[in-house]
Amino acid sequence: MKISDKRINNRNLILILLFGNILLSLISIYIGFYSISIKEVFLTLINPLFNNNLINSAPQAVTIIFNIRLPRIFSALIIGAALAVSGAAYQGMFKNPLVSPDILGVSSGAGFGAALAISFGLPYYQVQLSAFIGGIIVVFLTDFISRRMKFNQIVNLILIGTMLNAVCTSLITLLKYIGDTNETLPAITFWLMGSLSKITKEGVIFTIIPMIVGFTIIYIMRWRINILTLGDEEAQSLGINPKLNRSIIIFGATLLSASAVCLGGIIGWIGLMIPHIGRKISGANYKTLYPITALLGSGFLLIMDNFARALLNIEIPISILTSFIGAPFFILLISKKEE
Amino acid sequence: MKLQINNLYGGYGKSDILKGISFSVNTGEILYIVGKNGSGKSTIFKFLLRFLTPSKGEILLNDKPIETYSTKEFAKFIAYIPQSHNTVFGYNVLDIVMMGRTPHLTNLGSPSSEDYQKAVDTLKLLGISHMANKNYTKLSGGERQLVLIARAICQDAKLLIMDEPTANLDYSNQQIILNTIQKLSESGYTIIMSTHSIDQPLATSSKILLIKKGKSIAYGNTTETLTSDFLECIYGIPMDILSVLDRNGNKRNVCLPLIS
Repeated sequence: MKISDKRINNRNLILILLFGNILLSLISIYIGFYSISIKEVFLTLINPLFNNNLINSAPQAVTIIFNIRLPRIFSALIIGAALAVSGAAYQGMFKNPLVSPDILGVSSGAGFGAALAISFGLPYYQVQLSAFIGGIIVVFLTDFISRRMKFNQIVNLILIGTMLNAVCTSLITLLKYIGDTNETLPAITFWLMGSLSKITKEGVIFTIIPMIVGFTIIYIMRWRINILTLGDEEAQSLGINPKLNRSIIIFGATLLSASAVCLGGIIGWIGLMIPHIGRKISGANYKTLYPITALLGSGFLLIMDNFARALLNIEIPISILTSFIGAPFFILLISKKEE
Repeated sequence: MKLQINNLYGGYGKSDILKGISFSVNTGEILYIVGKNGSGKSTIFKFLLRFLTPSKGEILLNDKPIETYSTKEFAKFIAYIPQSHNTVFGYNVLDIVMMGRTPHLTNLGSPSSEDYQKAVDTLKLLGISHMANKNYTKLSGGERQLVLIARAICQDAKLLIMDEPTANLDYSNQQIILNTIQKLSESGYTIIMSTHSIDQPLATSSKILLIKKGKSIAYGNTTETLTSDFLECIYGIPMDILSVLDRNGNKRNVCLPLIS
């Protein structure tokens, strides 16, 4: 009997998603408050290739495209991919498809870090730095405390993660309560709702290195995530050290989610929903789930960000959209009977 | 291939569950481990697979203590086939079988086209190619057990440890699994398995270890070891071993627990 090769289908799917994301990115350059025609967008983009002799683009168009829209589009792509890939990795590690990247407290830790920096009136890049450090410290604490407990590693991590989540959330509430109602409170609230509106080139440069490290770790470990989803005993009988490999994968996933939160604030649902969609269309194998999830996450966040900046006359916090559109879509998806 | 267990003691905490277990298996042999629930059958497997460390005694694989092998190296010798289970995520059968190639990959690698072909060939060998692209979680218990056996074969380990491979299977699926195990034994695989069905070891000429409360009650060939007295000792109820003729006139021994 001939066995049909699903790998070819998945390769085609990856190419389609990649092409789709490129097309979506080009369309996204055109979207925004400042109106730029498609022709102007196209000529401005290719102008540097012709030593800027092709057209005399308006300086505003050049600034908006190269300093605002392209960094923002690039950020949406990498944040979406990072949240989706880290969500998929966490779900594999905890053998639970309902786990999201903030299970070990990375989001609430980053939220507390950002809220603290905002309360001290620090500039935006220091808020981002503080968020990154906060996220990493809370995950480190979760891991550190859980190693000193009796139960199995996974249960410990979830218990401590939940506890530290609660502690950070209460500290954020405290900072909001005692903060200045005109500046601090709205700034913290807005940051916690997530937005790509304040993305800067510097912010992208700062987060790109931990993101590359995170993406590389998960890419290298993608086959081992499959093995770890079988449980520790089967993983060990298949020749891998479950504790060591799980720690490495959690480290990579944490780098990704902390960098994403640091860059765009807390953006919900992507880390939970996208891996689920990825599994529906490509299967559970992380070897193919990894690129498909990354591309789906990129595309989804880019679409949401386009809505965030074009739907109303004011910028909509992106988490409102990811939850509003993502949650019903997710329910629709999981309630649909399998063929 | 030789696995030898000498005077093994150990358990999960400070107290020992296993108390002085000894046995050995060689290439092509099948060893059945039989005992009541909670007698220590699965605990023996946990020591053989290095999930637990003995408090006393030794386990030798090809005359070397098992702790001297690296995790990866060890997995090339011994494969574990758990009771048919469900995975959290819906891997297809080919993915599950390919997972058996993990000990043969480079430290950070993933399966190559050769590994893929090996998995395809293993499915063909067991006659289950039609399942290749099926979702593992949607298979019946018997089919899942066959897939786990395929994964172990793909692992290229010559000693298979099976934890009650026929548990919860109907007669037809039990027979398919037992025939597969018999063929594997004939082709040089060494098999250690636990069972609650005494008729299985009675139907084959193999080795058996009877245990009770972590202690070895009897160990030897099935024909000599499986007696009413030993079975009554481990199960605590009267049991007969009867010789019967099947419809083809072949003599068979069967186990009959007496209902009081």
